Amino acid sequence: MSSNEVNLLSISLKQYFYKLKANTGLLNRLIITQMLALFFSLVGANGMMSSGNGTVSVSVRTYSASIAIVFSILWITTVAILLTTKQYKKMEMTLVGNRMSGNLSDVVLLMTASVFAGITSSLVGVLLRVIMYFTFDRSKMVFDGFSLTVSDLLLGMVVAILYMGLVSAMGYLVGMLAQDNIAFLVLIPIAIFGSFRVYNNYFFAQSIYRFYVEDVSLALFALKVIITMIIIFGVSMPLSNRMEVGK
Amino acid sequence: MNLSPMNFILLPLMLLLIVIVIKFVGPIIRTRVSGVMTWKRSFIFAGIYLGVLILLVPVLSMLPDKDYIKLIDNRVEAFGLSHTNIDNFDFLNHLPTEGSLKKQQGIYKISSHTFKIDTNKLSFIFYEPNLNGNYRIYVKRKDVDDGEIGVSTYATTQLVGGIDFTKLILPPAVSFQKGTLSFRAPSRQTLDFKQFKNDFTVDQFKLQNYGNLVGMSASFGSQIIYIRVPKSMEINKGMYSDQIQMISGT
Repeated sequence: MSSNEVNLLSISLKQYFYKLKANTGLLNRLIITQMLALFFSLVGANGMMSSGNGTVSVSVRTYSASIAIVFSILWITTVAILLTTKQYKKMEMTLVGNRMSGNLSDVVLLMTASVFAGITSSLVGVLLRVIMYFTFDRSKMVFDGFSLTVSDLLLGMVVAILYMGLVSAMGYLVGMLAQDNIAFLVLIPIAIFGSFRVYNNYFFAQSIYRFYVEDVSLALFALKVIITMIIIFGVSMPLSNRMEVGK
Repeated sequence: MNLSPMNFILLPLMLLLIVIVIKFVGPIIRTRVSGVMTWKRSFIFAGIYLGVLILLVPVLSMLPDKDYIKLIDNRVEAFGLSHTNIDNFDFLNHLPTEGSLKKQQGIYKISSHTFKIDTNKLSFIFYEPNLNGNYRIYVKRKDVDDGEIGVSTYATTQLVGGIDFTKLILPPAVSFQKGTLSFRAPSRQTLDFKQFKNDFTVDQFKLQNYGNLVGMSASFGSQIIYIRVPKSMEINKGMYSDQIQMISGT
C-alpha cells in the first residue's frame, strides 16, 4: 500500500468525521420525518377493503410501517443531493484533501446515514405496533402480522439499508449531474416517474425496477444493489473531478 | 385503496398543515433549536431515539397475544371453508340432521333457543323481507311429544382476507308466542377489522404469503334455521311453504 493511498484513506476518514459532526442536524430531520410517517400510518392506514351483503358490512384496514421507510428514502435522497450542493462542497475547502477524498467521505457518510435510517425506519414498525396495541380495540385486530419475529425485523432492516444505499447513490449521481447542469435535477425525476406511467411491462425503466423489486433472493438482491452502488458512485466521482475548483 | 370521506377531508388538511409547518414554523424552530442542539446533543438525541426503538422490540414480544383475532392456520382449510356454501350440499337427497350439521366442517352453531309450547299448532312470521334470501329453514319432527320447540341457527364460514368472522355474525332474533314462531333479522351489522401488514422490504422476500391464497376477497355464507318440533305438532307453513322444508326421519 503506497503512502498516497494511506493518506487518501486517512484524509477521507477525517473528512468523514468532520462532516458527520457538521451534519448531525440531518439526523434530527430524519427523526421528525419518521414521526410524521408514524402519524400518517396511524391516522390514514395503508389500505382498506370493504365488502358486504344485505345483513353485514365488513371492512379491513391494513396498517404497516412502509410509509416510514418511504419517507426515510425521501430523506436520504435529499441528503445525497444536499451533499453535492455548492454550500456543502464549500465545507470541504476548509479541509485538507482533494476531490477524491471529499467524495469518499460523502459515500461513507451516506452509507452511515443509510444504516441509521434503515434500522430506525424498520423499528418504527415496532413503535407503531406498540402504539396500536395500547390504543386500538384488540378484539378487532388480527394477530397475524401484528406479531413480529426477530428474523423478519432483521430482514426488513437489511433490505431497508440496501434500498437506502441504492437510492442515496442515485441521489448523489443526480446531484452531481445537477451541479453540471441544473436541468438534470428536473429532467431525471420526470424521466423516471414518466417511464412508470407507460403501461408496458417491457419498458426499460420498468425492467430496471423489476430487476430489484421482484428479486426474492436476499443474497442476489444484495449483490445487485452493492454492484449498482459501486457503479453509480464510480460514475459520480469522475463527474465531480470534472467540476471547476470551488464549484 | 379506498379513501373514506373523513380521510378525503383530512388528507389535504394535513398536507396544508405540513406546508405551513415547513414554510413558516420550521425556520423559527430551526433558528431557536440550532443554538441548543449542538452536534453532541444531536448525537445523544439520535442515540436515545435508536435506544428507545430497540427497547420496544422486547416490549412488543412480551405483550400478551390474547383478545386478538387469529387467521385460520391451515391455508388449504381456509380456502375450502371460504367456499363452503349451503348450496353445495345435496339437501334434497341428504337433508341435514342436527347431528350432521354439528359434524359438518365449515358450519357453526351461532344461536340456540328452546320454547315451551302452549298449543299444538305452529305458524311462522318473518319480519324482514330479506330474511328468506339469506336463511334456509328446516323443520324436523322429534320422536316424542316433549312439549318443547328447539330452534338452532347455523352459519357457514364467513371470511374476509382470511379473517373468520362467522362467530361475530348476529343470528336472527327468535321469539315464540301463542303458537307463532317469529323471526326478525338483525339490523345491518358493521364490522371493522384492523390488520397489520409486513413492510414492503419484508414482503419482497416472503413467497406466496397467506394473503395471496385467500386474498382480500370476502365470502358471505348463508344461515340455516333448524327447528325441532314435537312429534304430533300441527304445522302451518302459511305463505312460507317455499322456504320451509320438512325433514322426515332421523
